[in-house]
Amino acid sequence: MPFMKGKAPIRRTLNYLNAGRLVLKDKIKIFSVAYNIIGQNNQGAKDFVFWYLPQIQYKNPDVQVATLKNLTPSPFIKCYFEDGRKILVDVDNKSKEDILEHLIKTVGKSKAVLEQEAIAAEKKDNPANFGIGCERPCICEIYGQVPCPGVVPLPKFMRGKYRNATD
Amino acid sequence: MLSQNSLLKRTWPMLVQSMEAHRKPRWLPVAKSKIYRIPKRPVIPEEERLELMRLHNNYKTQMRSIRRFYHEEMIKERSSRESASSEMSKRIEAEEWVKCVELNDSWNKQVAAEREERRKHEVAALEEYALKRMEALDKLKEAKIAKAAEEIRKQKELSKTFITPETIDAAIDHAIANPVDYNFAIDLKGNKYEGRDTQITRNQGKQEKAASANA
Repeated sequence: MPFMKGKAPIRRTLNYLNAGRLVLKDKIKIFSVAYNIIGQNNQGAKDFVFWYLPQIQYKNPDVQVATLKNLTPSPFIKCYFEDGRKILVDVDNKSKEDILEHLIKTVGKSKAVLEQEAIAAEKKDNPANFGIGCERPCICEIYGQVPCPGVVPLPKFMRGKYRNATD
Repeated sequence: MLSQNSLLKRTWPMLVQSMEAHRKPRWLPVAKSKIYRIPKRPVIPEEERLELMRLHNNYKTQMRSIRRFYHEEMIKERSSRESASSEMSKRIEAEEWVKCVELNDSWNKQVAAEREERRKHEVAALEEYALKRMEALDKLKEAKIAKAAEEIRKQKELSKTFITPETIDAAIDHAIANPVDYNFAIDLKGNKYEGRDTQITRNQGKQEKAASANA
């Protein structure tokens, strides 16, 4: 595969990797795909490996993703859980989109769970937060905000000494 | 990479939260004015000491019991909460697992059925292909045999005219009686004159031309 020719190199872009929709459940530890490179019934599995496996590995960095090439009579996907359970998906003569949809439904996290996790992750390190333990201890570090009065005195119209002055 | 300054700024407020009185640093010696000062030992009467001890003991026992009570309660509460939540999550997970397996089984069943169908078609196609090939081969063989038979028939017919020891004398006589001359000559116009001893008249071509002109 040439470095930047054709449409295949798009798989290496961050946007493509981030667009992956299959986030496996936490208990899944190994995700293996077995397929052959010849035969029309293997075409979907082959395309799946070519187009979607990078996304799956990127989205699930803690999962071992294995491919078994030319070792099986018919293509299948097998997921191993941490407690020894297995789930076998027969992907004979199925298109890569069908396979992905089915996997999202069976071994992927549901949409609600994903949204919840995204919210939790966002709360943890929102770059807009400030204070002790955050990236910036004071909002006054941001350009355009009012500097802390200890560093630069406030303008006179904000200071009680001048606002409440009675002459 | 965080700079040292920024690190200080981040940790500074965490470290220093309260105001402290100014103190003498540890490494300075005793102040000159206090070198010979000897602090007086506190004098506590025996009765008071006993009374204070009783009060302190009471206080410590009560505080300890309260602390222990709250501690135990917290542990109990936490364990109960954990077990409840873990049971809940376990139940949800088990339900999900059952659902997934069901879904997957139906998918696998469907795929298996489709594969069976496809395999049947493939086998039929393969059979047809093999039969076609065999038929073609048979046809070829038949054609070959027919061609050979035709050849044999022809040769048999021809064999009547073959020269045999019995007919060789007649053949020789016949050949001598009818000599064949294959020699010929061609002139510039492409006319063919057969025979070695054929007489060629010079003006034969001219006469022909004149004839064509007259006509």
